[in-house]
Amino acid sequence: MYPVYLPSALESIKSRGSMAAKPGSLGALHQQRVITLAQYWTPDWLSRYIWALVSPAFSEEGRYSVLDNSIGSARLFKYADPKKVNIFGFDVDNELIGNVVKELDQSEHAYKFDIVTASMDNVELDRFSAAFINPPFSIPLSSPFMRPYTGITHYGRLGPNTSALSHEYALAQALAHCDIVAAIVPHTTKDVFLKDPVMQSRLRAVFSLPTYAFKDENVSSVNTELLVFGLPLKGVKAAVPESIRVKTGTIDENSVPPTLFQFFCKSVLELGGNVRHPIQVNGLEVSNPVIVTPVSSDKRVILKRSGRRIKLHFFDGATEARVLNALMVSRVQSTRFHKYPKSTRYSGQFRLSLDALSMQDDPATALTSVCDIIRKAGGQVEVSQQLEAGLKAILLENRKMSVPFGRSVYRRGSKTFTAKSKRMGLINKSQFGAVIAKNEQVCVSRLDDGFSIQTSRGEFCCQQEAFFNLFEPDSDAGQQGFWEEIYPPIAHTFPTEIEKLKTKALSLGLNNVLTWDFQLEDLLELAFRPKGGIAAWQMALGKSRLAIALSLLLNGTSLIVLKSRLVLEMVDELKKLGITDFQVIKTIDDISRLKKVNIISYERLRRPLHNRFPKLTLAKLLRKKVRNVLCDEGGLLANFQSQQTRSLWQFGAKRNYVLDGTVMPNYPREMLPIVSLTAGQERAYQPFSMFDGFMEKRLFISAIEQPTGREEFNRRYVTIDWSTNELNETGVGAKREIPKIKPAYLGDYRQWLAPLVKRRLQQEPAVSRYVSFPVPEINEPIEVEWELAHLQLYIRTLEEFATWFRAYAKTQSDDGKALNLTLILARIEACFKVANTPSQVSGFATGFSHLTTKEIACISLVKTRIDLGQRPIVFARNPLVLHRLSAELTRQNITNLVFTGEETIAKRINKLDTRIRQGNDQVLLASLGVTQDGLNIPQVNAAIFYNRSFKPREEQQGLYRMIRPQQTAKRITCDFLHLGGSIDSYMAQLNLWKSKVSDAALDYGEQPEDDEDFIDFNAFIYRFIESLPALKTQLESLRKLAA
Amino acid sequence: MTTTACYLDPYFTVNAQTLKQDITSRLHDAIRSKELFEKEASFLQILGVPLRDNSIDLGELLESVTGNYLDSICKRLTAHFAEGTPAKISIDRDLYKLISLRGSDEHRELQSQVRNRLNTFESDIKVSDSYLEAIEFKTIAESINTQRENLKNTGLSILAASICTHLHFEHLDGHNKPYLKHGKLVVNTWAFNHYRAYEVVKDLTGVALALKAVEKESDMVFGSAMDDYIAAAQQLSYQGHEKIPSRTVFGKGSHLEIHIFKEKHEFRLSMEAFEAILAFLSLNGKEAVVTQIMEKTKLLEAA
Repeated sequence: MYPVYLPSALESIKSRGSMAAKPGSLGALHQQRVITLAQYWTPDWLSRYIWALVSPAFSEEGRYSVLDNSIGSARLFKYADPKKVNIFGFDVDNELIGNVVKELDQSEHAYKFDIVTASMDNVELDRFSAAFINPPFSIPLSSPFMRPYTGITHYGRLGPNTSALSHEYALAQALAHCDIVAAIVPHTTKDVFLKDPVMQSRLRAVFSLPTYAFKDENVSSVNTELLVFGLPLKGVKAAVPESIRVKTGTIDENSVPPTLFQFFCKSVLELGGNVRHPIQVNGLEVSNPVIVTPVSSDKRVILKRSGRRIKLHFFDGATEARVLNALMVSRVQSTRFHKYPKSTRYSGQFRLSLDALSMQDDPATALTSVCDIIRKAGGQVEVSQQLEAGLKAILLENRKMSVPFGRSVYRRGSKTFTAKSKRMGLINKSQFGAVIAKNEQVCVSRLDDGFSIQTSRGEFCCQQEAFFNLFEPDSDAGQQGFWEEIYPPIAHTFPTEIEKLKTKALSLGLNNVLTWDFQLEDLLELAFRPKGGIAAWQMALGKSRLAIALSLLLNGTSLIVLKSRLVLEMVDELKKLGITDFQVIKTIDDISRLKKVNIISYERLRRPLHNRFPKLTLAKLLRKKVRNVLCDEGGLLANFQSQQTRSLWQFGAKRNYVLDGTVMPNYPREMLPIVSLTAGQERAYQPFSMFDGFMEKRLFISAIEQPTGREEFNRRYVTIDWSTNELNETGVGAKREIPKIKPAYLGDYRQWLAPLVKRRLQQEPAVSRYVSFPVPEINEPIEVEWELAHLQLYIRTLEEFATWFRAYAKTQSDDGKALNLTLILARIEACFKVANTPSQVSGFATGFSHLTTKEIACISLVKTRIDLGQRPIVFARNPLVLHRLSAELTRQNITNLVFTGEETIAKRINKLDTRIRQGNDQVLLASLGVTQDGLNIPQVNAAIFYNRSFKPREEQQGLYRMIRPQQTAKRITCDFLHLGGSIDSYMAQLNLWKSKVSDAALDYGEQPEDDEDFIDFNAFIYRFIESLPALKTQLESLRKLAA
Repeated sequence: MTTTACYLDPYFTVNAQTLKQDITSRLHDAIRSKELFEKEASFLQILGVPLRDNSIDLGELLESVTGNYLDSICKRLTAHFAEGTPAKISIDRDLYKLISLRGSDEHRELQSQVRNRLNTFESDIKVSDSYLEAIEFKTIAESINTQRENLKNTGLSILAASICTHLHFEHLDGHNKPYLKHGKLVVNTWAFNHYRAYEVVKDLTGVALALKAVEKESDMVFGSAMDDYIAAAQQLSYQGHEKIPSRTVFGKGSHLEIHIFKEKHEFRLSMEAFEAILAFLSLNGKEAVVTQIMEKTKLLEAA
């Protein structure tokens, strides 16, 4: 007995055929067919029989896709188990399809389905496991979109292979796209199909149905057959006698389905996995005409500008049709092999794109070519002045946005030096003979994007990264370095515009706001950009003042968006500068009286104004009201999914700026959302996009190869690779994104960022001329030994985690689900806690009231630093650790201040001021969470990280609290404490990679070498768990020692 | 009797004068031994001991002692300078086989001297001295020294050639031309059974040596695929025309994998491995071959 899954509501729908009156004549029969769509439901017993016949082909484990190309009320899927099959289908009856979709959607069985309104002669299909069909009989089909099937499609009114009979076409279509087909067709149909030997080899059963089979559908007598096809047979199996191969007979309600010969099909996985749109409807929507312009004798076609596109204005419908066909050429559809951007519908549509036009060698000629196409199609072209002006404006915008920001970078080595090869290898892959032998001495000259190597075989170019992989500069050269200006200031290219801005800035007194030359230069360059930009100044260079100056310099109102804890500081800064035309936006009323400079916090921006209206936020109300938006610490916008980011995108401001010293927090791809906000998307100067297309020159000719913006970005800059060699060798795990830019595209990535990011570093000459920042000494992490009891506890916790993780990973894998990283992180937190704050762990015997080895090591290091005349700051995640350290330090008569989020901002800042900034406390104990951007503590000069952070940005920000212009110490140190074999070392590795890639991308540094392992999160978890045996060995040694 | 070892200066330069001196000394010793041998042999014959030969051909003696000595120098220098490559230092035999080459006009007088001597110790010594005068020791020394200086490079060239031959880099339009697949360079070679295993192992040993040279120079690690493959070939049994079982994979996951199929053996090189080999061939192989490889495998596009 087969259970019924189909919603009962669908069973109550009557077919059109069952409700129609009997035709009196053949002519009326044809009329009736057209009206009723020859729609007759399959009898229940037959549906059950078909399901029983076919379902043995489905294996227990797999999931299968089943199709009905005239699905009706889905009766054929009445017994289809939603846990085993995905249902696909289409039908011309729009209203019926609407009902079916609704019922299946609401069904308790959670169907996976895709059902659309379409005719079988107007669809493109993917592959399916099986088809169950009961097509309309003898309806003549006529469509230019038909697929040709030999013997089935014929020459029709619309050309060759544009005409067929419905039941024949339905069966041919099903056979072409499905491994198994069960079809209810007129009894003469098989003769048509079995002429083909392939169809013969596919036939598995021919069952005659009783003539009364459709009596419930008001059809008293009809000769039909159930044909069942499988996969083609080959070799020995094909030679099996037909009597064995093909089951025949007459079936009725009481028949028991036999087992069919060689009857199986591919599962969804075997067919290539789920496809987004397995049914694609061809052709134009017939209900709404595309061209509504009436026919006239006026053949004029006026080309106007509409935003970034050319809009065509027609006066004659026929001309419109011809011109559009000539320009658009052909429709493009996404397939499983190529996904088009959603706005790309025609291969020729970019002829009307001003961006694509502007990218041509000669845009004017390109525009002329468009006009020629229109003329050839019979239009009389008129190019409006508005369009010409628009194109000029776009060209100017391109020029202004494309010129790189002035930039200096630090180069390792001197301009020319000697080096020795570390190994034999190819210097580059593009020049013949570009090879180096091991230990060969060479002369090296620096180029813009690498080096020129003089060998005994000739002179060859070498990329930066490849150079340092292959060669070791001679010791002197290796120590040296120099600053090189790689891009001159924008003033060299646009002197008049920059001078104009400078005059305005000086008249506003902004040279008193930004007193250092480079600050003013950067202000002008940023203001020069018509769309916006990213000010990636390192810490302590005056970003706050830059934000203020930009707000004053730019036309219109400006909005500065900050973290809430920095709002007061910004207000103080404005007051210090004597600026009065500003406000902090807190309420709706503030929006109605905007000032020149408006300040708001990220948190307030996204907060709903009322619980009843969760989508009504200040961000929404500010839409189109501010001309310029400046986002402080805008690196958080890398997360496009966050509410903060989405709020900012709602503004629709003319210019967007992001100010952040660590603008690339983790992966190179994180720049895309930020750049998209500040420079736009799909432009000549910024061709990528997040959800649409990739802009390039060749689109003007055809968009047939156009990738999506994100796809192209990922292809160039996102590296997916085996994250560790062990995963590569064992095959366990999968490829992951690693924080590295493909070496071949590193130069490209830097060039892409050059006009988008204004970078300034503390050590560069333009900055060091005015202010000196000490370079922190980053010391190797200090490995701290475990104490016996602590290690025992850690191992126990790690074992618990390992047990849980293995079970969880298996369950998820069995269910075909991905691992929930948030959940894993939450569980791993326990290990983190045990490693760093074991005293917080309950249920453990000793309670850990005594200091751990790490705490002891930290105290010792603090004392060392104090003895060296330094003033340390200890960073930790958990305030409890800080309190414990504080207690011990106090006991040892070392004055200290604990600075955590346990107190209010005002209170803790007050303490900081009195005891550290103006006071003499020797040590500052600060939690990482509150010692971030905006907090300046130049009074301390030795950072000690008790914990590592998962975010390199957090550590960087913490470190740079003390690297300020006011720092007087000559020496700044930074130490890390790692518990041997614990989570600390893994976090350190993660951070190192991320820092290196950011350095390589933004500051022209070197990426991690190819043979270095990147421990992605999965690998990190596995290694973390695999560290257990080593830790246990360590425990044993400690036990022996203790004994 | 003295057997003086060849003197080589600290830089292993062979000196013509010293060569002559050493060989002279050896030849005199050999002639002394010859005289003694012939005397004793005659006496034994008188005593009734049947002896096949009671004399030693002087010409043969002179050439074989000289040849043996030169060979030992060549072997010693080869061992020192070949650095694991298959190159060898050798001397053209025509340079010292002056007597046995009867067809040569150049040394007729010497040959005549050998034939017409009195067969006494003194006359043998005299012939030996004439023989030594006729040898161009300078040419021999120069030849040895030149070969020594270039020995490693010669060896590397041999290794490069063996890679090109076995991996079909010389026949990039042939049936078994290499091709790129899934980011690896794939080279097909014919499957073999026990009967061909011996010669194949000989070739493969050369290739294995070549790959080790590549590893040494480039820090590339090919893994154990080659060694395991050779070991498997050596263990093939003659019974049933045994072949290495199909679907065997040597060196899985390493930069060189060898996949065994029924009719072919596939060498799969990672791109890093291929580049290392290409660098090696560029330095040590034929330029024309390297150029062709780079063009055919579209290295430029791959880059």
